Amino acid sequence: MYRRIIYLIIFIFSFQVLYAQTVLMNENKPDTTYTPTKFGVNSKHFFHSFLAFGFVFGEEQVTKFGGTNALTLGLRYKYKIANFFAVGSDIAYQRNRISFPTHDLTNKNYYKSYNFLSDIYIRFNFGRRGDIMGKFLDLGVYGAYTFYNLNHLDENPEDNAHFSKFIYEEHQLTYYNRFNYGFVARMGINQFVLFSQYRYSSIRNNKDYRNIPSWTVGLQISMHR
Amino acid sequence: MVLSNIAGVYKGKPIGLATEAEFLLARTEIATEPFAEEEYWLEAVEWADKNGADIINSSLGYTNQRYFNYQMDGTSLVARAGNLAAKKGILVVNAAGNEGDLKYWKYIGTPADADSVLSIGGIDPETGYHMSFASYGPTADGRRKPNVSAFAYAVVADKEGLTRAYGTSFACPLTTGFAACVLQMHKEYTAMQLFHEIEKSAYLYPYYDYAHGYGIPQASYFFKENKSQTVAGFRVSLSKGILEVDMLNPVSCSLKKNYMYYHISDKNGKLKEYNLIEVYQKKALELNIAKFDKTDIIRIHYKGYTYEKTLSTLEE
Repeated sequence: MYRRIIYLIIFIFSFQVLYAQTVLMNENKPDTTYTPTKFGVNSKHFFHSFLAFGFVFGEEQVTKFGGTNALTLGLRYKYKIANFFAVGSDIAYQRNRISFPTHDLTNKNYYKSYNFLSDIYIRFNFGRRGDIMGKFLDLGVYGAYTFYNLNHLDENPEDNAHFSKFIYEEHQLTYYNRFNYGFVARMGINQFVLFSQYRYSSIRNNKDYRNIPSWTVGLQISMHR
Repeated sequence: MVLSNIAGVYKGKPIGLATEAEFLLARTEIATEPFAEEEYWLEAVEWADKNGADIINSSLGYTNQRYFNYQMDGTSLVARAGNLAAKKGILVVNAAGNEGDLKYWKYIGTPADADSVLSIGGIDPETGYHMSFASYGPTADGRRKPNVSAFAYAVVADKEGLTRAYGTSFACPLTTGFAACVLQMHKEYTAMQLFHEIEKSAYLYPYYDYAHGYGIPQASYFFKENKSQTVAGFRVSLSKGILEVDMLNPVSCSLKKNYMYYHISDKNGKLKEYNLIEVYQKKALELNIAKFDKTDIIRIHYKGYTYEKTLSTLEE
């Protein structure tokens, strides 16, 4: 038994010395020629993803603040024309939630829509900068298509011996417009962007209803260095 | 913290390298003021010149926030200011930067890219070779940088007392303090003589690479002690297009820091490849040189000896 252990130890040590060397540094292709690249944060072309969350601001009688919000996940393209000027476009998925005021018997009442969104924008950059996004202002227009929507109503029925709660849910609503459009404005420093989205179109196609507030303001995080 | 590496005295004992020097302190950054900071740096250099400074230590560097990597060619405002200071007779010592392990920017910053600025890379005192975060050369126009290196991990003094700090910001004042001592010894040196003598004193010289420069400057060089071995500890041969390096003496596998540096450069000195290996056995290295040009040069450095040969002159 001991002999086997000794053989094993000898084997392990002999295996170690089989290596002639340890490579500590291996710079096989040192970067010795730096040239401008076409793709990069502050180069001709740049793509990056972004995540945004904003709240809809408006009258309290129409929507509940906080519960009325928009979550956006998208991809942005930027084409640099000059150091201070660029144009670009976004494609994004946006989830909108509009929370309506409740009364005594209503627990929850909200509308949700799931949209494909696209915008085109012009960008003004401010100040000198190197290989970074820097400070900028974007102005643009957007269009959104609602591919799915629903209305959710959660109520406590009055004097009902059989049910303590009623939940009504309606899908693919026809009294909401499928297409919406409006304006976007963004102010950013590198990855951090303050955005506002103004919906110019009416969200409902029935004019008898009061319209939903149009302003969404929030923060966007751009996924780049 | 940076100053303590040059001027620091702790409980009556010097912890800096040149504690009896005279100092001028210029602060060029307070809050973030992009680009204006570089103008302040230039003004500080002018002020130092007016007040008769011999050496400037600057643990500052400007990188991708303000520049593209292809602009690291010694033409920025601070790089030109650094070169101008050198023309006026001031040795400017600048940190290479701490961007070595970034994917998008591993290059030296400016003014470390300036031709006449002594750029200081970082070495890990524990391993004895390049500290991973220390920025790499060369400059965008292909000049060798960093020039030399020093430990990028140092004992420094802050408001609380002694502490330890990482960064080429601390390698830089270690070299500045060293330069001040050399200048005290050789008052006749001009700024550029001092620059080149410090390069020559470094332990890898005449070998260099873009991570270590010429290595850490050695005081023994200025005392005319034999810095380097004149006899190679290895033999180089060529067999069927494979360059082989064999150690002449047995190498103990327990020997630590038994480092061999080698690089292939073009005839103009621009490196195509550089490596560092720790040698354990007699047969230290096999390198296929068929992929390189015949006019390329191989340099191998091992324990103070640098072997140099053009590939076309190697014989089977």
